[in-house]
Amino acid sequence: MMDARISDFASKAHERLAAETRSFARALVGEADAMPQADALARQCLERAPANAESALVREKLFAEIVRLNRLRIRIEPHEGALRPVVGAARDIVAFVQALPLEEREALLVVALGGFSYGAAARILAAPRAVVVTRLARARAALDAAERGPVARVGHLRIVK
Amino acid sequence: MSQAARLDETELHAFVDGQVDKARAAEISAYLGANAFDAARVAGWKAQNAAIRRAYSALGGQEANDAIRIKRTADVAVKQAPSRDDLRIRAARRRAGAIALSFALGAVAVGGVALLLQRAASHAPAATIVAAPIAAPLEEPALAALGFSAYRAYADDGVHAVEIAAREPGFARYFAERSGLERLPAAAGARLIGGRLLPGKTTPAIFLLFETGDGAHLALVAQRASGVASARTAVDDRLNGVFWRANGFDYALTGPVDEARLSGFAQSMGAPAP
Repeated sequence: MMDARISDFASKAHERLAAETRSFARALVGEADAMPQADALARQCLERAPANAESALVREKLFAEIVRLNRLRIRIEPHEGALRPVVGAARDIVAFVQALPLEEREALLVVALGGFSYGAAARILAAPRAVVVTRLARARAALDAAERGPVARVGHLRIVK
Repeated sequence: MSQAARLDETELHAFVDGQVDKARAAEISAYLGANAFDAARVAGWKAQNAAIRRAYSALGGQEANDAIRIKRTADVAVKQAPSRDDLRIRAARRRAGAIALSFALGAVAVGGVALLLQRAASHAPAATIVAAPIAAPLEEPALAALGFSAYRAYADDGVHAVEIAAREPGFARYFAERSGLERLPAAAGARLIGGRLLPGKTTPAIFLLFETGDGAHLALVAQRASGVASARTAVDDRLNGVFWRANGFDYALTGPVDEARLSGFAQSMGAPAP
């Protein structure tokens, strides 16, 4: 009886983590036509996680691995900047978030969606805490501006191989 | 708190994200009560957080069961082979054991000479096991890395993609003998062009190059199974990869085709259905 309850609890924890991982990967990847890649990325990280995947430290490592693999995927070093799209006719939060530069999107999603502390976010993003907070602030400012209206937000355009 | 003194913006963000203690949160709440502009910003950011959680959480629930099923399969493989963290902890335990043993031997030797020294030795400090660093990366799947790197090195080389063409006499026997495979995998709907040997982890790995009907190149790398099994699928830039373990061998099939199609080729080579 006890074993069944433990098993049920573990199953629910895995289910929750799988859903979290998938939504985080999809949000991070952003591009609508890359959703299969986001799902594959989430699966890959989940498969490689240790059995006690519901622990906080493992969850943190899992999110860090998704961030790392996504950066590898698009070959962007976060400190070098990213292709910054112009927020135009987008009207929903998903479109606004997807229009953010990668490093700002990462910071916002790790904190707002992942619910991690700033310290954990710094470890996940491999960046100093102050840098993470700055990126988070910039992301929120961009969302504020986008929600106010279709004001073009042209930043430093740079395509990195 | 003075109404005139504006709070630092980083503190407002910390407040929104629950990063301040209760006492500070109460002070900031009081400040916001008297500062409509900042109160509106904070309310907006809280609303953004809620909207992000609502919008993306809905995405995560889809097909989650699939991920769980694969995860549980992978648990078995993880238990069969120790992870890097396991190895670190075991090494730390071995070191701790060696230190403890040396202290014990020292205590016995000294104790034979003088009781006083023996008592001192009994207070030897205990060895501690240092936990693995929190942010240590998860173990890299070696076969996946080999599959992708081999593809990039050879598959698109128009001149020397393979060392031995499949039409060469003795091709199949040579690669089977060197790898230990009983017979080489064949792909339905893809033509075998040729192959080459690669330095594998324990024994030589084989690299077989296939061409699909529409001209895409697929690379199969196979070697004797060792360590933790790779994930079933992976992506690397423009390449997809499908990995499986069967009959004591690890296989990696990589190519610039979509995952579903690549899985189809992999199954025709003997990969289990997802």
